[in-house]
Amino acid sequence: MKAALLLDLYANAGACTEEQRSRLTFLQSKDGPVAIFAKGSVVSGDEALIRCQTGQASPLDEECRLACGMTDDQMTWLQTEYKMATLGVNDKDDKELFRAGIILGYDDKLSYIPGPNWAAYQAAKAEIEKTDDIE
Amino acid sequence: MAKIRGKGTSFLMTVAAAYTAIPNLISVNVSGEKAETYDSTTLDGAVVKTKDHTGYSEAATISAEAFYDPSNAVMAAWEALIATPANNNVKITYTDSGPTSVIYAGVGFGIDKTVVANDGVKATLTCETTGAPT
Repeated sequence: MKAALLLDLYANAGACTEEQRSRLTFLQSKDGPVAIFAKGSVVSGDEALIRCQTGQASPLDEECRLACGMTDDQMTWLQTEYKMATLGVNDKDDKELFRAGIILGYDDKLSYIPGPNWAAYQAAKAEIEKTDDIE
Repeated sequence: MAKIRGKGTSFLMTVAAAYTAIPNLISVNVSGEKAETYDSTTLDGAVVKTKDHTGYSEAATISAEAFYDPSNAVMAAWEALIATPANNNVKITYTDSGPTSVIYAGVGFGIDKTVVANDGVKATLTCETTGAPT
């Protein structure tokens, strides 16, 4: 049973098994190197299952997919939900914008980071405002 | 000093050795951190009573409110710490430019659930912490 991590996960190095410790990589942060499980790395067994069930990973084989007990749509929904939780996107309206690809999260000043559909959304919004002004 | 917004803050628990975000978070409260004191008033002292430090400090208690989904694996992992008590490191990541993350050694996990007609089902996740945060 195998799964691939969909994003970098910060590790609690003190809670790692020997096997997990061998998979750690390190990111530079302002406080020095931080241990992570890197995006794309492969996990197996019970860890694969729990990572998929939390939305942190995607199944790589049928056994893992079946063990998760979710449809592909449910899994995609959960993965997006998890990504939003890590980015701190918890506001109901912002979650809708995120799911629609209008925002990717918040920048340092907590303004929206535009997503692939940002321009189309802004254009549609401007069009509605123009119509409202005419009426 | 910058004003840091609450929006964007995340609260994470350890699941299979990785910090895992609690979904649908509404608020996080860290309270109770305090340098401990004792009453050092003596019979020959001045009118106003005195206090001094014991040299110890109280560790924080954390509570977080979130919308509750009993089928969510992270919520289930939190509840598993009640069924089978165990230490678990939790982490709060603030929204400053760093961003700053603070890790607490969590013990004594708890959960309160609230179901009312005019709101989503919510849970208040609580944990005591032990030792100094890092």
